[in-house]
Amino acid sequence: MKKIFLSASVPDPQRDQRYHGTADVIAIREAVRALATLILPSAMLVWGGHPAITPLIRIIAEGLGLHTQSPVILYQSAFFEGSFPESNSAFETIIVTKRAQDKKESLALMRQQMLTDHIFDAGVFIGGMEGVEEEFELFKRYQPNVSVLPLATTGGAAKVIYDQQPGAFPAILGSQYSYLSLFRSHIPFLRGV
Amino acid sequence: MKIVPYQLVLLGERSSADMAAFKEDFLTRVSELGIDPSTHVKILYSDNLTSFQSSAPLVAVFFGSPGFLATEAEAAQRVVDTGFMIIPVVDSLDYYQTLVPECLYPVNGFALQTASGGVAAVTSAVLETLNLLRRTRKLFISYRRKESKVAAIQLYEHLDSCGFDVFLDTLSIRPGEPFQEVLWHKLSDTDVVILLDTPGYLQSRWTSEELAKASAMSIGIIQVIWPGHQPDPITSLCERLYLSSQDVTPDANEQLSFTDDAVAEIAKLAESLRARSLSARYYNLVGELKLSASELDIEVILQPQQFVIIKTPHKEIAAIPTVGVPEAMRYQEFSELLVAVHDSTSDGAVLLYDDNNLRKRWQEHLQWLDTHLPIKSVRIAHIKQWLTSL
Repeated sequence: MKKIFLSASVPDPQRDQRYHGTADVIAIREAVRALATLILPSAMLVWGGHPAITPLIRIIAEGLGLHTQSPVILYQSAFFEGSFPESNSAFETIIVTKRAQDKKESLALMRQQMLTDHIFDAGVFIGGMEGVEEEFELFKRYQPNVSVLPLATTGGAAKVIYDQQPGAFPAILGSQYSYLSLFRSHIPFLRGV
Repeated sequence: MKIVPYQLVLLGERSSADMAAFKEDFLTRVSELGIDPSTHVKILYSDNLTSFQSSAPLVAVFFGSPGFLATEAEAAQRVVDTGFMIIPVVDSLDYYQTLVPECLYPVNGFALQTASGGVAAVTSAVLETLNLLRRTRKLFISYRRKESKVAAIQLYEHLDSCGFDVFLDTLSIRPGEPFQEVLWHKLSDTDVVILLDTPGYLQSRWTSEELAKASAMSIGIIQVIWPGHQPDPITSLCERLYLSSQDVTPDANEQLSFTDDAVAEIAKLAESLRARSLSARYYNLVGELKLSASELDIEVILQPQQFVIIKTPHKEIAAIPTVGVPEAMRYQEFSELLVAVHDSTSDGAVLLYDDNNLRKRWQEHLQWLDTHLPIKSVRIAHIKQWLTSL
């Protein structure tokens, strides 16, 4: 089965302006929604658990009639044990990674494992802050020849990544908001679907 | 949050009196709706069209004339390619193809005649395309009575005066049953939800699953965060507005009310988010239709007034994607619209909608309407089966 890695989060107005200044919450939501709608029926989605994004993907999976055994793998660090989102249980395969000394190291460990456990067919980066930038760096290191799609229109870290390497990514990532058609034309195995 | 403007593109014969009259009429009507054109409307022409925002609602009007310039035709092509609506306006439909560029041939033209309403009718069509007509400006304020009744009522009054149809969530909801069917039905017909996030609000109202459900429906949610309160991470897909102690004043019962500036700020956000989430919901319907259609090699052509033509080798069907709860009036309007634009589509017309979260009683009502009306309804969840059956 094809596998897509998703890295997404929502910059907060009270945190780093570098991310929030460009963040577009609606675009972030629509991008996650479109990705889940397209991927779940035929391929696997892998991501690090997020309190708002995980439940959204779950609802979309349910809407697609994938109530149980959805093709998703969710990573969570044992560091957050006790505050995992409620919706975790019934829906996805959860891989709980070991707790390290502190939050930062626990997350680093989780990301390392998440990005070395699989061979991905594409990586999609949506909105986000430091964590999304870190996941992008690791993705490039461990999955060197795989398509990466930082959706600059969602702002935040995805835009920082896109802007850092002018010309490295398809220009459409900087202007296109209709994510259903964007994913269909830029995720290799979805072309022509 | 950046302001999301309603974008109007004026193309074609720039010196025409019709274009000037239309522009003036449009700006007046927008102001009448309580929307300040200087902050919420952006007017573009062929020479600055590149500065448009593809994430914001946009509609173009092409004023046709026999000698239209190539630059105007290129700009029209660009609007068509980007997937936005373009309304061709001409003096007469008799020589339609000599008055507009080729990319507009498949689009229904609008004949500018006093009898059919003149420029005012064009303005209505544009306002409808932008979802700006008053009838459809729906807001939902959700709050916890114990903590924010004063502020909620204050906000209700202000937004009502801005031309919004405001639903104040005062229903008492039993614990364990936070969102009943009726409330979801109401929500699915709402353009924007405003949550007054007081310290005890979330626990008594929304679970993370319910917030996700609203997100999956692409409803815009503004989270107004009380001074000093830390929002729960499950709300991070809401548009957040942090209040500071300068934005509020306590009353005798220690309930907070907003300052005038804070109320104005919330209204501005609501206007902006509404534009954004309505176009997201509209394009979700169109996007899913296009997705299924392309798999079946069926062509989908966007028309002005927000309807689409679905073209198979044997049939042409008109469909109107409807955001929110379809009402009987919508069927009638659609049917009148098809007559008004002289649409020759004889193979039928359908209303396309998302039945997710609509009340069961209402779903039954729509099925009943289907057996009695010339226009049928199609649920987006069944779009593929329906297209296959054509």
